[in-house]
Amino acid sequence: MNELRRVLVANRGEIALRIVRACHVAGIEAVAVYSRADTDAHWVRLADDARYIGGSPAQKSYLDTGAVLEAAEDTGADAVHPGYGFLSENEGFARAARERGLVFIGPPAEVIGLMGDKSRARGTASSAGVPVVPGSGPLTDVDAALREAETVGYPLLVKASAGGGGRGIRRVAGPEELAEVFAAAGAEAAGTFGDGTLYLERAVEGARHIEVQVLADTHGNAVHLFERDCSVQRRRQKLVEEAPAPRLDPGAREEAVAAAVRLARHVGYVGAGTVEFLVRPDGSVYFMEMNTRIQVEHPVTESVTGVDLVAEQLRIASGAALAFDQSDLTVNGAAVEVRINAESPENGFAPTPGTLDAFTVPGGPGVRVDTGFTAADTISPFYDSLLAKVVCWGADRPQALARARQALAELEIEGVSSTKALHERLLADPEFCSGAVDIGWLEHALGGRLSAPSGERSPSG
Amino acid sequence: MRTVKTAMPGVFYRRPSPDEEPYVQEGEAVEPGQTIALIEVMKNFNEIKAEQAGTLTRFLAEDGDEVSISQDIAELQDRLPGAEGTTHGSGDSRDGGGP
Repeated sequence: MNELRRVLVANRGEIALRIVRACHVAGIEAVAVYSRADTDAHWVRLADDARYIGGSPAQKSYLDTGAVLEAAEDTGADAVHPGYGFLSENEGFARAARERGLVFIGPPAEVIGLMGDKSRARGTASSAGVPVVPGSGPLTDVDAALREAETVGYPLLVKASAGGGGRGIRRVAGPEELAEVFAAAGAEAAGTFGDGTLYLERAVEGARHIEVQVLADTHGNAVHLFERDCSVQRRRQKLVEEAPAPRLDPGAREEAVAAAVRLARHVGYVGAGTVEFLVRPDGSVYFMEMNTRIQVEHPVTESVTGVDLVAEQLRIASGAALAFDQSDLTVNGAAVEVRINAESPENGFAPTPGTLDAFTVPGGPGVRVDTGFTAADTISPFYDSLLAKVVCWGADRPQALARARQALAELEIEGVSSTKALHERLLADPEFCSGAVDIGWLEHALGGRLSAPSGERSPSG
Repeated sequence: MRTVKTAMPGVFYRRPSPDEEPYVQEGEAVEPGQTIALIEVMKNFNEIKAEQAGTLTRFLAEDGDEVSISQDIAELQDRLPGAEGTTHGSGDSRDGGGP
């Protein structure tokens, strides 16, 4: 055991506040770090100690490994919690923290590295017996690609090996298109990434984004906390998350949760992590990637399982064994999270930094709002646009959705544009409410059924 | 002397990505609509374009700087007629060899 007394929170906004709260509840002191833009922020005031770590741009503060570790040393912290984003999946940061004698609240640095490299992660998953999207190895020759494509199957995606973040991907419907696309993609990859190596992957269409929450301790115990459905996305950014996944094929759920635990064990995972899958309408399940951190949407899992995931992260980091096993965990009711972002959906989701002239959050049974802001705060242009997460639990999905509609009706935001009105339309939409929308649904719906009624324009948008 | 101003607050960048060359070097000519820098606002990158032709004599912000709205980020000088590509080469016959 390695009792934690003082944890440095290497993040900002709602997740920093979430971690400060969890520390206090566990009887641990929390140290905040802050940039110039976040001086006097709510979560900084609630921490037991705080250090200024640099200028407003994240590169000069929250991404500055040296400054963060110095603050930890300076304040006598014995552990560092990276939250999500920023340094949370930075192998070098995790290693440097360890070398300075700090407990990194997350998996070992080596596991972060292993899962962070897309092609290696795919291979690792495959060797753990986790189904991956059918695909080829690295290719540079069009004739080899044409041969491999017969095995992979059409439609397929031509992907740059050195790509990532959705870049360097082209879709091919059939063999007649492959030669031309392969040549163009190779030239583009060589120009953009300095490496023209490509690989093929079957295009998984009409699929849902299903992810499985896992927890693993340092004693070899690993459990899953069921799935979340994050299919409502725009440009790979999630807008709504739910647990459990509505109308998910029971066989697919079974396969995904088992595969997630298998992968966690296989890589020696420690802490909270998420394994993301694509699930096709026929129920087939494919590994996408593993996120080696707490996720934005973790509260929906907390709502239906009753497990405080951040508290568990702290316990695991202190060397404690999981206090429950798989058979202790069940899903109770349903939960939905909507992300209120300071963006204007009416203007192509353009970010809208500004001052929160009014900010009144909803309440009532089953309603939880995670936000780092209070009224009169400035939403600065330097960080992501997440303003608040409205998480609603119900005894069943219709009640959870009804509570979410009521919560949004109470939510008052003035001074910046937000995604609130879009979520109100979404929560009233029969297709969404019927459950089981796929990852292409939102972008399609935004052009039609979910588009803003004419005349609806945010005052500051 | 004119200046190029930001239309939004954020983080200023002179290059399309960290490994690439700057869009424009100080002293270079720019055309209307030419991208000269980026402003990152909540993880979105917005191009700053020159509105008029001229010579970009000096940048007033560094890569990675925090900038506010309507801040001057570059100085732009009107290009002298006929001065393109030469340095006071008024008597140089090679300049007169155009079509």
